Amino acid sequence: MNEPTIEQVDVDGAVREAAERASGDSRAGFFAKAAFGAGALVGGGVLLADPERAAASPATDDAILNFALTLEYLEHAFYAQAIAKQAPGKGAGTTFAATAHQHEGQHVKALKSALGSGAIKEPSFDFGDAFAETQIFNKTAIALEDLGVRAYKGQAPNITSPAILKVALSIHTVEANHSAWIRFIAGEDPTYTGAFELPLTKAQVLKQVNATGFITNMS
Amino acid sequence: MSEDLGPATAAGLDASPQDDNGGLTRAGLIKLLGAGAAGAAGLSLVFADPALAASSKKSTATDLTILQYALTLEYLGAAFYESALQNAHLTGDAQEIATTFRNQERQHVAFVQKTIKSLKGTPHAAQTFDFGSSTGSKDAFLKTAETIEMLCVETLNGAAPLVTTPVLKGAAELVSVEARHVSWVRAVLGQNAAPNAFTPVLTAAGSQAAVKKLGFVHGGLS
Repeated sequence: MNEPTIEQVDVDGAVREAAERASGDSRAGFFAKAAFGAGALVGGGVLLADPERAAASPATDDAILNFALTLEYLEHAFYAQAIAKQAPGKGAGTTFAATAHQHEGQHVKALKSALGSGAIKEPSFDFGDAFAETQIFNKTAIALEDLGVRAYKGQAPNITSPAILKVALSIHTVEANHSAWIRFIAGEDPTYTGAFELPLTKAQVLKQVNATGFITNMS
Repeated sequence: MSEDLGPATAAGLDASPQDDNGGLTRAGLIKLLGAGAAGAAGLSLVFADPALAASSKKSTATDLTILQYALTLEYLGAAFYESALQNAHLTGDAQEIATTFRNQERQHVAFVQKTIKSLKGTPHAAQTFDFGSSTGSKDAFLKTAETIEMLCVETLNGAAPLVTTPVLKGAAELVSVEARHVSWVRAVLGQNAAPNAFTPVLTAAGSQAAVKKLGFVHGGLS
């Protein structure tokens, strides 16, 4: 199976449509900083390296944690703004957004705690028109959650510390819970990949995040 | 599907982190992870678990032990949904769930069998199952489905750190699908479909105790 592109993940263009309206003008900056966090590394060549080929080490664990933290910041901010703008549909959609928001907040806290002073700061976000309609919110939430599942899945085998691996796996399946739930609410297939769900590399994930333009500034 | 071997299961690990973990260092996080989900049966402390302590000695033998147990769970799931389709008079969402999950669990069975063979092992035959009244009605079916799927997710997450990397990769491809099953069933039941911020983890012993409690395996677990 080929890795899906943003076009496949974002079938109706909801993410890209929202992104186009967002002022995502520092994508290169995001790409550079989100990849390794806190300016620890610079240089596009390093960024494009396949992280799966890198030897596992504590430094790798920190890079993975900061990568995960970036995604969690993104999801957490997304739900916070969605709730503030009453974008989720009434009933189940509202419960979903509140639950996911709370979970992503806990994920952020756990990852920041693990990283200590090495944790990257929360970026600035602009979600464009993602909250204009419930349907757009749903589609964007689905895209972000699916991406989260595959990002954790891709990084888990690179993690050195058994404790960190455990956290990553524990979050991995929660992101799958979120995805299946919002897919059900939106009338889409909760097991959209069938019996198996494949990982994405860090570079593949960053490419998709980058394409949204949701992250406008990494400090 | 990737070519990376397969899923894991059984053995080890502990515990879901708790709600408030603010201000922790990495050491604190590790302790937190060992703290366990309050009230969840079958969970134990991560680092008190001898299975995890032994995980530095990952081996094909350990992989095979875990894979054989994973195979039992996948056999059980596939048989459960087949039984429900035959006996529970399902319609609508419940019927769609049973059909979808049966087909996916069958694929998981084949995947685990293939993985075991790739490690020069011999997949054990499917046990005989008796699901009693749990596949006799829609409500019983859905509630039991949720229990079985959660058991699979918590078991796989517990086992994953104990297996070699290729098997871990395979397990990761399965486990998120099982997590999707959990949420799909819970959504149909009208429940909060993402019940935890961190998925709890079962040890091998905890998982086996949970399977035994279900009482579906004829003659018990070997």
